[in-house]
Amino acid sequence: MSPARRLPDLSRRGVRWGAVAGAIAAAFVTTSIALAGFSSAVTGGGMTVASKRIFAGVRSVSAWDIRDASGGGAETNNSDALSFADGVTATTKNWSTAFSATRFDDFDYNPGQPAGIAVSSATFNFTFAPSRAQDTACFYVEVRRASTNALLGTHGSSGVPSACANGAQVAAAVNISSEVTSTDIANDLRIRVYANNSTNRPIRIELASVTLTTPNVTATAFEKRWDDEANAAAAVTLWPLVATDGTAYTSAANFATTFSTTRYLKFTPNEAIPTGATISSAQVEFAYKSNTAGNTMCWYFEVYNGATLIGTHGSSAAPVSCNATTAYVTDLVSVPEVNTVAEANAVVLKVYMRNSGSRKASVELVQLDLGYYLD
Amino acid sequence: MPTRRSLAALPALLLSGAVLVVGSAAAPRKDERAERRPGLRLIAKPRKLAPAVKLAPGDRVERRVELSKRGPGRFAAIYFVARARTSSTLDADRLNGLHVTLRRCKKKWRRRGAGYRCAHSVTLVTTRPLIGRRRLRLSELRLRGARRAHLLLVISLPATAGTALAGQRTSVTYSFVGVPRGRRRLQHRP
Repeated sequence: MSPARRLPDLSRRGVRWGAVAGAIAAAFVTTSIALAGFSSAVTGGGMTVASKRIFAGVRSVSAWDIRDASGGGAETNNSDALSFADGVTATTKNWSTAFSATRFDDFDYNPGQPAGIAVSSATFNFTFAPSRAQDTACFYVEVRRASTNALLGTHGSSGVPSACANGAQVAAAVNISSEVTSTDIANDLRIRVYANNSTNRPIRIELASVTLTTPNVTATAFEKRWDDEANAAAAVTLWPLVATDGTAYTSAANFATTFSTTRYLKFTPNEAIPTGATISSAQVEFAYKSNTAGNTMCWYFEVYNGATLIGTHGSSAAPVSCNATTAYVTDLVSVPEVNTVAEANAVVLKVYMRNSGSRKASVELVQLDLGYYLD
Repeated sequence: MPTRRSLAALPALLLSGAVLVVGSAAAPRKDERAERRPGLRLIAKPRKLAPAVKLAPGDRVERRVELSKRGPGRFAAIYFVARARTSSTLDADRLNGLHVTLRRCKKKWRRRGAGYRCAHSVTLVTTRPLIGRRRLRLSELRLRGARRAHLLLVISLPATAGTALAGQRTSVTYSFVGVPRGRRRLQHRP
């Protein structure tokens, strides 16, 4: 006999009435809900609301590609050695044979992409070689925030490097998509490269860039700050032209006292505007002075869409401005001719200069400010 | 003994089961847009509003909605309900996300440029984030006789909306719920 069967009659009756009361309560609740449905009148519909893919705003980019014809002869490629796979390399300080937490190179990026957009893929492109063909060099990376140095993730390790180069140059691609998930991070990105060298020597870096893909565009970010701590001591190199911070590009040769169409500096802004975007404004910012005190520097410029001239601002007779001081002067020049995506993505600025004392030019800032949105 | 106990509870179970069946069959379906019973009805036109796309901070879109009643009796209260079928930060961000304003005109709203104008006095019925935490009683809204309520539904994206709200899409279901006189409280979830 089970314990339930041993209950007295009174308890069994209680259970029965409990079940009945519960069922009635359930029926009451259900009925109330159903009757409520009967007595309220409902009407309405649906609507879809969507926002623009990119809100209107001004985004600024600088130039990493510089062609220098200041001397009046052939152009010299003075582009950033770390930003293009063009055979021009930068050499680090000496690494050790073993990886060390204090031996690294930091590269900071700001591709100038609109904030708040998801990044679907991000790749760190690192092309490198040991400084001698008989050596071996390896590397692995950390992904960090540039502003805070906060660590976001690590790819590879001292035990399992991301890649090694046995004498010959190696082009490595490290997928950093898991850390660089939005343009907010991409615009504030630091890649820390830990490297070693089998004979405690430098490595040569051909390329250290980041390729980003968003739903709207694929862009390449170039380093604006390189801190070479291969020997555990900081050595910061700022790319000029990105800020009015006193770091400037000095022309390869002296300019003449008069303007000449053969003496110029050519800058290519690193622009990546999505197809379909509407450009509402375009402006060039240019900060310059004579590299030598006591001389007057003047400038005017042409705007090209690739190789096609689309606008001229100032002239040899009426320059955009002249600067006789030892301080940088910043000019803001509207370039309304840049009003299509194709033009924006292929802008080349050709800057003609003259110097009263036949001296070099010092250029602190070259920036293209584009106002645009994407429906 | 177990058989007797089961038999004793059977009438109550049958009763509740019957109510469940009848109630479920008669209650309005979730996607039902208007009350179908022959009594007091609330009707909003159009049922589907034209999409509002490519919104930028500071933008506002206006949609006309005509609200009327049919059948005998009056409504004690009318509520506005908006729910997100497909949610995004546009509706989740209550401060910088989409806001809705309901305005009422004595006569029909007339198109003027990209928007609408009211030649008579305008009553502000409500304004709030699009997706509210609760149903909103439209205390300014009365439907008397055959008169219609000429409403303007204004969806706006505040100028403070940041870039995080770009490239977002929200699908909204809006409802007006009328509670007939005699029922002081809304119990039905549309």
